[in-house]
Order: sequence, then C-alpha cells, then structure tokens
Amino acid sequence: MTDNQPSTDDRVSEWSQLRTDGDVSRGGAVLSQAELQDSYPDWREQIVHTERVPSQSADVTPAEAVVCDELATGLPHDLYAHQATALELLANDENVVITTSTSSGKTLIYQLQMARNYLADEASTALCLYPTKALTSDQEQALNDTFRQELDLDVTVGVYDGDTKPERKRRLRENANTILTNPAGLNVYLPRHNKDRGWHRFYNNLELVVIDEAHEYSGVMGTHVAWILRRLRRILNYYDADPQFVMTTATIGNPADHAQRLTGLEHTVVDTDGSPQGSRDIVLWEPPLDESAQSDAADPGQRQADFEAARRSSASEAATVTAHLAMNEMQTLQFTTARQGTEIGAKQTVTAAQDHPLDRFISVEPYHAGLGKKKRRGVEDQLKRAKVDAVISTNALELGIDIGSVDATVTDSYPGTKQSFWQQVGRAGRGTSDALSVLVGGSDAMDAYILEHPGYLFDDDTVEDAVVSVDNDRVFADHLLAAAAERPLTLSDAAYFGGETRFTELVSMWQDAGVLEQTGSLAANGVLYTGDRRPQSRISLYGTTGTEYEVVCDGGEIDHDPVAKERAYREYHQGAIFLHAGQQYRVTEIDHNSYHPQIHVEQISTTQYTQTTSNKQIRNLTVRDHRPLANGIDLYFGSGTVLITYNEYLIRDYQTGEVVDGPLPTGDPPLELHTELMWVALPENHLQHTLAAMDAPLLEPAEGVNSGTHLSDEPKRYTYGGGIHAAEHGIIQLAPLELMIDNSDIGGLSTTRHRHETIPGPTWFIHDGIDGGIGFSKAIYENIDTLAARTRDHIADCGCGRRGCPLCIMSEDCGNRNDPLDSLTGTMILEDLLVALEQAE
Amino acid sequence: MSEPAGMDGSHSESGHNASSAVTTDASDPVTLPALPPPDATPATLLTLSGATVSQLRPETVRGLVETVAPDIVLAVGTQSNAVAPTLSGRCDVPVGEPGTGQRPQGYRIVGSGVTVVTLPMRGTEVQTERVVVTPVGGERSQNPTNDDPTWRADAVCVAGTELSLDVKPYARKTSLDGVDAYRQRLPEPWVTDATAHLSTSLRAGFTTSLPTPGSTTAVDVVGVGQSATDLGAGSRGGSIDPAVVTVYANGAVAVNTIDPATIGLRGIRGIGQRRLQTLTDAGITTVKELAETRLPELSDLQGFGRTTAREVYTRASAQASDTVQHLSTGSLPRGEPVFIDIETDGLNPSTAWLIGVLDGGPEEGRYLSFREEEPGGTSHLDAFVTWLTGPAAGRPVVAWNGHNFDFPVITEQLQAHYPEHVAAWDDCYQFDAYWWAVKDDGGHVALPGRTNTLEDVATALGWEPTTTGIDGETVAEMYTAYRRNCAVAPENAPEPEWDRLEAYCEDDVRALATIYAHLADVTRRDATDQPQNRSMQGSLADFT
Repeated sequence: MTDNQPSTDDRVSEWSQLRTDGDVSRGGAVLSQAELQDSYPDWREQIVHTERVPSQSADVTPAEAVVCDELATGLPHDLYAHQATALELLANDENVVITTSTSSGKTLIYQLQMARNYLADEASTALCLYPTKALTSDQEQALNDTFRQELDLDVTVGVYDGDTKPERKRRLRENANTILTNPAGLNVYLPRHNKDRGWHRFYNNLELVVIDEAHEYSGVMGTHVAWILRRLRRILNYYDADPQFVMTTATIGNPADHAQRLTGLEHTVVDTDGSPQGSRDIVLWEPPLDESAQSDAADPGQRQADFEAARRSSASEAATVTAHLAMNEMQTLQFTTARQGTEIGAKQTVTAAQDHPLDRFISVEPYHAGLGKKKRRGVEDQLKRAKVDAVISTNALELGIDIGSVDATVTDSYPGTKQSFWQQVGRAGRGTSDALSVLVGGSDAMDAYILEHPGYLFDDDTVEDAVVSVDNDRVFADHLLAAAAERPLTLSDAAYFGGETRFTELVSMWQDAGVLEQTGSLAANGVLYTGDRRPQSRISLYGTTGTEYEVVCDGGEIDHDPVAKERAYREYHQGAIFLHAGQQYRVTEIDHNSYHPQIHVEQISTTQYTQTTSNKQIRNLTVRDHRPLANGIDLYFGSGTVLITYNEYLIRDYQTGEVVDGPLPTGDPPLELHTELMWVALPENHLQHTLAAMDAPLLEPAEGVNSGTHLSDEPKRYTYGGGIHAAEHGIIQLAPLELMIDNSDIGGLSTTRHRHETIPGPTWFIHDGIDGGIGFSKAIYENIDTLAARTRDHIADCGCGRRGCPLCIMSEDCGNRNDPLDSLTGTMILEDLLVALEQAE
Repeated sequence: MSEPAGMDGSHSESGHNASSAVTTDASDPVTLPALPPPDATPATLLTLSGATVSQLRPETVRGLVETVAPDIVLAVGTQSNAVAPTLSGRCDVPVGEPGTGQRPQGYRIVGSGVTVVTLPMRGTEVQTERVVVTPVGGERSQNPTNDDPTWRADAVCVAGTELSLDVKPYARKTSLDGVDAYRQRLPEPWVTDATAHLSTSLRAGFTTSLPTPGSTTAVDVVGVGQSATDLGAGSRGGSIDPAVVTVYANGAVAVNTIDPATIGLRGIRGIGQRRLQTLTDAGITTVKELAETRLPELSDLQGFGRTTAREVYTRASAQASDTVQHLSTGSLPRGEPVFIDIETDGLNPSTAWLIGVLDGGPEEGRYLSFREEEPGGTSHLDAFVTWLTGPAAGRPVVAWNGHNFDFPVITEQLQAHYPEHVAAWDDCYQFDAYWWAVKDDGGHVALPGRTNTLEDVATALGWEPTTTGIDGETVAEMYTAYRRNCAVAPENAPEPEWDRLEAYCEDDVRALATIYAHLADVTRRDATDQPQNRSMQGSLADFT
C-alpha cells in the first residue's frame, strides 16, 4: 500500500531542510531514519508521511485602535487580527462566529464586548453557554481574573447550574452581570423567567449571548440546542431585549450556516487566525501489515479475524511509539480510543519500554474521566511539573483542563473528527520549541483513507461540515409545549418557531390532543399550555423521544450520560461489552418496558469485545425530494419506517480477533424507527448490465455462512449484491470525512429488489438511526457527489482483494456480518452513479 | 384560582359539556361550557384501573372508596376486568365495565336524575330496551331489572371504549378514531344535549366534540381513563391516577384525578412505604388510630424518632379532628390582612382578568372585585394597586400559593401594563399563607383535609361554598372561550354567567380568610402556651 511513497530518509531530510535555523528539531532527530533503525523495536518503515506546519508570527493591531482607552490600557498586549476584526464587527451591531484555533484568545473577544457594554451601562448583562460544566467553571475563573486584574471592572460573573446553591442562584439572578450555564440548564431555567425574582432584570438588560464551542452542538444535541435558543430569543423579545450573538467554534466547513441553523440569526464569519503558532511536525504512522493478513478465506468473519490478528493493533503500536519517545526524554501524551482502555494502554507502554534497546525507566500513568477527582488532579499536576514521562489518556484531556504542554502527542487511531485531532495535537509544544505529534493509524476505513491521502488532514479545503437540523417535528413539538408553558403562544411566535404553517399545524395538533388549550386562539389572548406540569423536564437532550435510559453500575459507580433509546437497543443489549471513560463494562440487564428504563452494567477487565448483528426492514417510504440522474438512476430523499432487530451478538477477542462465543441471542424486541432516509434507485436491468461489463469471475458464496440472509446464494445475485453492499458500506464509512456525523447514528440497507413505485431495480438506503431523523441522511443526500467520488477512489485503491477489508468496506456494525461484499462490483456501481451525476447536469 | 403546585400530585381537571372541538376551525366561535345548575346533586363515579387496584394496598383501595363515596366504580385502563373481583367483598359499590358483556348495563343513580349506561362488547346491539337497570342509592334491595321505566326520564350518561386518540407528530395531526363506530351504536334518544358521553379509552380530563354531519346536536365526549397515544413532553406518563367523575343531569361533567398516595396513612407527610409498613405491623392502619396512639409508644417504633413521631402524630391529629395544629414556632404578619385570589385564563396565564379581594374576616368581611372592564382590559390592575397602596396601605396581602401563582402573575401583568406600579407592589408585604403553613421551616402547622388545596383545607375546617359545581379550571376555560369568541365573532359573543364566576371567586377568598383565622388562632395559642418565657421577662412597665 505504500509503494509510491518516498522513503523515510527522504522525508526526514525534507524535514530538516525546512527548518530555517539550521538545527534539526528534536522530534526530527528522535524520529529520524537512523535513530529509528537503531533503536526502534521492529522498525518496518511505518512512517508514511510527515508534515511540517510552519510557525506563524502574530498579526496584531494595537488595542487602542479597536477599543476605548480605558480598556486598552488594562490589556497587557496588542490584539490579534481576528480579535480586532471581531470586535469591530460587534461594534457595528453584528453577530459573529469565530472559528480560529484553541488558545487563540477567543474568550477575550467576548469579554471585551462585555466590558464595552458595561462601560456604556452598568446594568447590562450577558449570558454565556458552554457544553460542559467543567468548561463553564474554567471560564468563570478566566473571566473573573481578567475583569479584576487586567480590566479593573466590577463585573459580576457567576456559574448558574445544577451545582449552584439556591441562595447563590438568587443573588446571581438579582445582581449578576454575566451568567454562565449550559444548554440543559437553560432548558429548565427559561420557564422560570416570570416566577423567580431577578430574571426580569437579567433578560431586560441582556446585550450579549455567547455560545462557546458551538461545533459540539450537532446531531441530536444540536437539534435540542437550536430549539432552546429559539425559545430564548422569543422570551427575550417579550422582554424587549435584542442582544448580539457571539459564537465560537472549531474549524468547520460551514460556520455561517451552522450559526444560522442553531440560532435562526445571521452571523459574520471571522476565520483568519492572527495568533502566533509554534511550528509543528506531524507524523503519520502506519502499523505494519503481515503478508498473512491478505487472507483468502471466503468466510468474512474469518477474514476479519485473520486481518486483526496479523495486524498489530494500533494500540500496541502506539504504545511502542510512546515508549520510544518517552525513552528519548520527550514527555508524551497519548490519546487512545482503543478497546482495552487506558489502564491496559499504560501497561503496554511499560512493556514496550522494557523491550526497548535503551535502558531507562519511564513512568507511565493512565488518565480518564472515570478516575476519582483526586487521582485526576494528581496526574494533571504531574504533567504540569514534568514528573511523569508518559500519560495514556482518553479524549478527556482534549480541551479545557490546564496541564501545561507536553513535548509530543501520540494519537492512537484517528479520533473521528478533525476538531478532535487538532485539539489533541495542540497539546504538544512548549513555548518556542517544536511540537511533535504522531498519528498511528487504526484498523478503520477512515484511518486508511487518511494515511493514504494525508492532504485530507492538512489541506484547507477539506474541512467537515457541521450537521444540525431543526426538521424533526417530534423534537419541535416537545419544545413547542415547553414554549407554551413559558408564555401563551400567539401568532407572532411563528417567526421563532418554524414559520406560520408548521407552527399553526403543530399547535392545532396539540390542541386536538388536549395538551394545549383547545379553545385558545393564537389571535386572541393566546394558546395556553394545559398538559402536565413542567414539560421541559421531560425533554431529553440525548434523544428525540424523551425516553432516556439511565446507566447504573451494580456494585459500583458509573458517570454515564443518559442513553437514547436507539442507542440502547444497538449498543447496550444484554451481554454487550463496552468501554466508557477508560473502563470496561458488560451489560447485565436492560429493561425496555419500565417507565424509567435502566441499563445495568458491571465493571470487568477482559480482552473480549462484542459485535452485534441485526435484521432490518424498511417500509412506508414517502418521497420528499427527488433528484433524477442520467441513465435511469434516481436519487431520493424522504421518510419511512425502519424496523431493526438487533437479535444476535458475537464475543471476540481483540488480541486474536477470534470468535470466543456466539452467536448469542440478545433477547431484544424489534426497534421501530420513523425516520429520514435517502436511497439510490438503479435501473431494473442494472444487475445484468453490470455483470456483463465485468471481466472478472463471479464471487462464490462461502460454505455455510449466513444462512439467514435474504440475499440469494445464486452467484450472479451474490456477486452483484456484494457490490451494492460495498457501495453502501463505503459511503457510510467515509461520510464522517466530509460531514460532522457520528456514523453509528446512521445505518444502511442494500437489496436487489424493494417493492416501491420509485424503485424499479436494485437499491441501497442510508437512513438516520434516530427516531424522526436529525439531518444526517439528508446531508449525505445533499453531498452525494463528493461522497460517491471519494468512496469510489478509496475502494478502488485499496489493495486488499475483492472481498474487502476493514480499511475499505468491512464494517464492524454490519448486520449481515460483511457478507456478501465485492469491491470490484462496488467500484463499478459507484462509477455508474458518478457518471449519472455528471451527465445529469 | 389557587391550585398549589404539585403538592399531592393530583391533577385537577374539569370536563364540561361545551363543544371544545377537535376539528374546530380557528376562526369559528365556540359554545361556552355549560355550568351545572347550582345545588344540583350529581352522580359520582370513581374510575379505577386493574393495574392500580392490584398495585395498591387493600386499605388504600378501601380508603379511596370511602373518601370519594362514589355511586359506582368504573373500570378503565389495563386489566380492567381485575377491578370488580378485587373490590367485591370489600365494598358494595357496583362496578361498571364498559366494553364487556352482551347487554348494556344501566345504573340509575337515585336523586341525581342520571342513569349511567355502560356499553357492551363490540359487535353487540345497543338498544334502550335491552338495558339492564340497577338502581343505586335509595332502596338497595331492589334487583336489576329492565322493566322499570323510571330510568327513561333520567339523563343518560354513556360510558364506552370505542374512541381513541392518535397523535402523529410527523404528520402534524391528531386523529380521533372509532368515531363512526361509536356514533352508529348509539340509539337516537341518547344523543341529546343533556347526554354525557364518557370514554374510558381517552385520557381523564380530555374533552372533544364528535363531528356530526347532518345533525345539529353536538356529541361531546369526556375522557375518564387512559390513552395509549404518546403525548410527548405534555404527559408525565406512567400509570394513571384514579379519577372522580361527577355527572349532572344537564350533561355537565367534571373530572378530577385523585392521587392514591394522599389516602389514609400514606397521605400523612413523613409516612412513606417503610413507616407505613411499620405502623401496619403495629396494628395502626388508619389516620384516626394514629391520632389515638400515645406518643411514647409511637416513638418506640422502628424508624420513628421523637421528632418524627411528634410530627406525624400532630399531622394525623389535625386530619382526624379537622383542626389546625401547631408544629413549629412562627408568626403571621402584623396588621389586618387583605386576602386576594385571582382568576386567569389558565395556569400559565396571559391575563389576570379578576382580582378578588376580601377586606375583613371570613363571614363579615367586605368583598371587592377588581375585574377587567372590557375583554383584555387592564385598568382594573391600576385600580387594584391604587386601592392597595391607598386605603389599604401597609397591610399584608395574603394569598394561598401566592409565591408560585398570584404574586408572580400580578407582578408580570404590572411589568407589562403598569410598570410605574411595580415598585409599590414590590413594597407590599406579599404573604403566601400556604407556604408559611406547609413549607417554611418544614411547615409551621399541620393542616386538616386530604390535600393542601384551598378548598380541601377550608372545607375540613367547616367552610361551605355558596356556589357548587364549579372550579378553577372551569372558570379559566369559560373565560378563554369567551375571549376567543370576542376575537372571532365580537357581535355575537355570549356572556358567561359573570355572577356565578364572581361568586366562586368570593367563595375562595372567604375560604382563605377562614383558614387564616385558624392559623392566627394557633399562633396566638402557641404564644400564650409558653408562659415560662413571659413570666421570666420583665417589662419596662415593671420598673417604672
């Protein structure tokens, strides 16, 4: 797979040439060909790419040019370009969305705006939203420090959330200038606006709303936040307040869009980063693949096992890299998503160190959110004071918490989004010295793609789009009830709530159901809420149906967010093994029928993991959008019912890849999803047409495999079926490269025949895995041109053989155990689709 | 209206005989809800589901039936066929089961002018001749018969299971299913304005009007049971509470849910499942028995310390003797109180169209009405604050559950319409008597009455309303319907019975004054009951 890449030596010398001061960076030295050949255990030319991100000096503007003297004198330094731009836009009464990197000083922007507002009117107030409580309390500290010490202003700042005592809450409501909270909190505090003293003052004087780390609000959470913000704006309108909005996000492809969808307001984008950056070396590292991994086994389960056994798991490879760096006196922070958690990762690192030619002792600590507070503080402290050589962590240390900086980071398996990746990389680099980051590729199609196309990470024009949608009527309907409880609904509210048609239709629906006043009139004194009290308390931010499963640990504790129903069925069936915050658990019991359903788990320590298979049926299709292409191919987007039964699971060992037990029954009833989906409808004769054009033999079904599938064993149908199956998998696997979606929240189904008027021949579906849909399959439908092209290239270029491998089309979540799969036919089908897309224009 | 928030979980609703239509166009006027005639005796039904009766302790079921004293029980919800067997032998109230049997069963509620008829199984015929009628109340010894024609003069209350609601958010529609089946089953004599239609497959308190093409008579249906549809965030979900349904001969229906956890010992604050078990084991099964237990015995029981025993005992005494009992030291505001009660258009209201004020004691006090002078008018708010800060300046303003309702609503209304009055209103001593009695410092007194609602407490203390058959919800619905008509068809908007609504409001402030008088008595007694403090303190007078 790396035939066309320059040798390591060439790349490293490129490295040294790029440095202008003539000195070889330490990272360069430690990871040079010579050094690695010498001292790296089992060196097999794993480096596939290195990238030097050059340093960048600050682009500044004197503070006096932007803010008044009173504020400028307090600031210890000039403003960066993006800070200046943002503040000028804000002075012009605009809303801004700022997408510069972490630690580029985004907080100062909104803090100075708060200061300006305060100087103009001491009664002015600001509301700041953060996605996590940890971030909220960090920011409270930061804001207070700057106001007191640098700006010398008596601005009262306070956190208002579940941990705040009632007495303090009252004082904040009645006196604070700035209140910090999180969306779940705002959801339940907003209805108190006319009941708790102080909100009236606060909202009346609101001049600024800050939404921090807004890229976190996508998918299901994003939908809820979008509605909570609309409810807020509507209440603010009642209080005659019209604040400006400041949103900060990580780098995403569509910041203006995202801001608009979350808030309903237009924002101007500020994206050119003026803050200084040290230079960085980023190394892409590919774990070696034994020849024996090129399995010829017909049984895909066996192929997967062979593959996993042969390939050094990225985790143990990452451990070796970490050990090598630490042995060479570079304090290293490793981020891992591996199955076995951080404890085992730490042990692996110690073992690797023991096997290392250099004779040194290194100290290694694991870190994850499940450790006690004291232990975590201890590790953070050790990092800050350089008292530990290596820390193996989950993404808990990605942002917010201050640990100083380390010399190097190692990322074990691509974390799924660019934001995550760059946030991890950002932890490396002390002061002006160079930073080194290594990405060790995991056994996943995305990882393979990135290692093959490093430009994906480093080119500016491949940034994922955030996906958030307010189309789900079920979620909207719930928030409409919450809004009605906040104030009676009137026709003027339609501007905030979906426009007149959607608003009046849903109001009528609820009136007919008796939870909104039946005789109430939107035109008269409004429509009042008449359902059970506190509807907002029954809105779950984790799902679309209000049903939340609580995760309870028998004989222990677990701090786990509530689980939405769809996810509970998929990942938390009885017997499922999962990793959370660095610790392994097994589900002992799950009760779907109780009014407050619970998932019971127990702590375990094991080398096993589980894989669930499912049966799927799609019915009741309704078309909402249709894009006819050339050559008889059509694209559709719409809604339907997806019936999924997660019926069986296998227990595998991650060290050997073998099946230890199973298939075992899960005992779960079917899950019925009413959701959104897209489908590619191919012409009736596409099977014959494709196979006729194929100049390779047909695939033969393996013996005794998959006796339960609806796909035929007949070689032609089997082969072609493998093709559309491969196309479906490929697009799902690679969609996250383009869109910020969690591909465990989407699913697919491919079939040679489906009874529906829009489907004359074979087809494949991609659907949202959440009831009511949250915009994922819609985003895929809208971006199909890019996705299909990218997928086709990746499948065609994977050198693994027709039946595919985990790096291209095999998926762990396949309900059909990855059978049949044929990358050759799949490539042909995708090519037909691409041609049809092109000719349609 | 002064429904305290979630105190006992009972979700007060009222149904009515108006055309609160599922399919009413937003621009059509609606009929005002009909009020039952004052002083009419209704038929009282208690709805129970099989799931409820099997989950509750036998004493609780008995206590429920005793408290409500229904004429008949109606089996609803899941496992409705378990209700009759569970109740038989424990109480002699007949149990009606709609949707079962071959023939309609009629229960002639003597004295109310209402006969409740439960419809038989689907597919069987419903004719007036086939109804088997059992008289309830009056001479019990009569046997069921279908010869007795006296029931024909009664108003009929039909109870059926045909209808169901289906909420479909993705289609943005709520549909009512089973309408045709139901309509076709009904004999013509049962489709009059005086007929009440109850559905056990619709949520208790839900009301709707059945479309009746070609007929001028509306068929209004009231839900008394449980619905299978998903109401999203609008419903607490879970098992349904029993409901008390009162049916009047003019077709008016009221539905109020009742929380079993307020019945008997379980309803005493401080007695949860464990302590309940302990008491039962010790042979104490009723509130009266608890009130008669000696304190030392009580505090000896497992799980009862001295403080808890005293508290629990005091609460039981209050309930058993229908009096207010002292719990912890506290004092009421000084000065002659001004009692208020507001009427709005709902619990999250857009307006407070009536502020009822009582100046003086419960009997002789003067009732003042500050009411909107035109639909949606606000000058009465101005008048209220002017009076409050003028003639009534410096006096405490007392409301029941004022902190959660009356006071914030008035504040919000003033902020919106008379912001110049907000400061003066804020300066008034706003006193929530309910909060003082029940919440402050753990509660200063133990109140009588099954729940802490204004009406329950006052009734237990001997207060009697002058107008019956009306409650806060009805008033709000009446007003909302009126306002809608004013907006949609102003020339023809029929006026509600304002006198009756005012009478209800006046009743409430007098009820409040009644309770307050008892609170004052208790705090005075409490003060004088501590003579040692008094005698120890000298007073200045002693030394001059």
